[in-house]
Amino acid sequence: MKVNDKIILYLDNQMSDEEKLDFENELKDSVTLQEELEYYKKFLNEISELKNISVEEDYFSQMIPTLRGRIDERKRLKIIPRLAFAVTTIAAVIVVFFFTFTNKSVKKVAAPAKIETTRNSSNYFASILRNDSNQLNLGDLSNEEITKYDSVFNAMISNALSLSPQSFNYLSADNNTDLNNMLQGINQKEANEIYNQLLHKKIF
Amino acid sequence: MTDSNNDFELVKSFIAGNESAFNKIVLKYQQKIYWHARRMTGNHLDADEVAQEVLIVLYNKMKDFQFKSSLYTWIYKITSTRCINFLRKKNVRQYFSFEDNETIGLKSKEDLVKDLEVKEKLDKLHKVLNKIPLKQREVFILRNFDELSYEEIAEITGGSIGGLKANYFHAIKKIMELMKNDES
Repeated sequence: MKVNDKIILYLDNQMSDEEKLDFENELKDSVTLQEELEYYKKFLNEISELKNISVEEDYFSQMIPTLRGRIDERKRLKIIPRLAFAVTTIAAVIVVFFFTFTNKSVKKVAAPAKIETTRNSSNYFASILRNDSNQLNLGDLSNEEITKYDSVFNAMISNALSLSPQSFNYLSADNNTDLNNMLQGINQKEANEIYNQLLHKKIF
Repeated sequence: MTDSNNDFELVKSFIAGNESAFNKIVLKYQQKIYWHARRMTGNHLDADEVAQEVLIVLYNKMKDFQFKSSLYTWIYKITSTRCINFLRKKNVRQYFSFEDNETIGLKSKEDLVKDLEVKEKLDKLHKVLNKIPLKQREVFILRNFDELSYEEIAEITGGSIGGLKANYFHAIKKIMELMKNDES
């Protein structure tokens, strides 16, 4: 072990009794070792002088008030983020609530004044033809709905005119029949009958 | 009543809601906390910052004190941890030059110690301590300035007694070499 290492252990009281005895015997015989030991002791004594340093007491007397001020400030700062979080959460809940429960009514209000054409029952189509036919717009209807309207309309005419099934079929079969062709297919007696029926029956 | 029992009574009193008990604890230990931080950090401003942090931690965490060690040891443990964390962050800041030379200069001017001779010795010591690893510095300070046994230091730092003795040995050796180089 180096000399300096022994000195450190000796001064730190980390040697066994036997090691200490050996070192002290070595110390007696070596001036260099004594000088080195003194150098280390001097350093440690200087350290000791720095243990208790007199300073301005104002600093320590103000330590508690400063601490109390910081504690109060931290308590106040803790509240701000919590408040912000609470406000944000409440605002988010209100926005979600608003959009969830007001959207349905908005949909109802925003519905156009069009006839709803999604129903499938013949009674519904008949009701529309009787009461709201002036609002029908072929452009708003699907082909399926047009076909349904046609069939209901034909049925209503057939019932109103008391047409036989053959006549009804003739009426409904040819979708492209124009009025002139239809009139050419009807004799005078039938034409008069139709005219009278139209005058006296409310179809539209 | 022993000193330790007295400390326990103060802690219990504070936990029960007596704020003045905490003030008494602070009055008793504030200088030890400050000077340990001062010797670790090397300047008054950093020591003041660390000391205030330690006191705030004590205020908030006193309710968690389990009376398994002395209050003195528990306080030193907190102080030691805060000092090392502070110095590690400071090293990072200085590495990335977050702290400029002007800031460092200001820190060295503001000081509690007005005696120039004493201040010079402190600065010289800090200059040397700054060159040894944090763990060695800490053991050296606790052993020489706070005069703690290796058993007490082990309780504070969590290290083994053998490791602490080795740290102290290397610290003294390094310090003496640096002092000799400085003088030559």
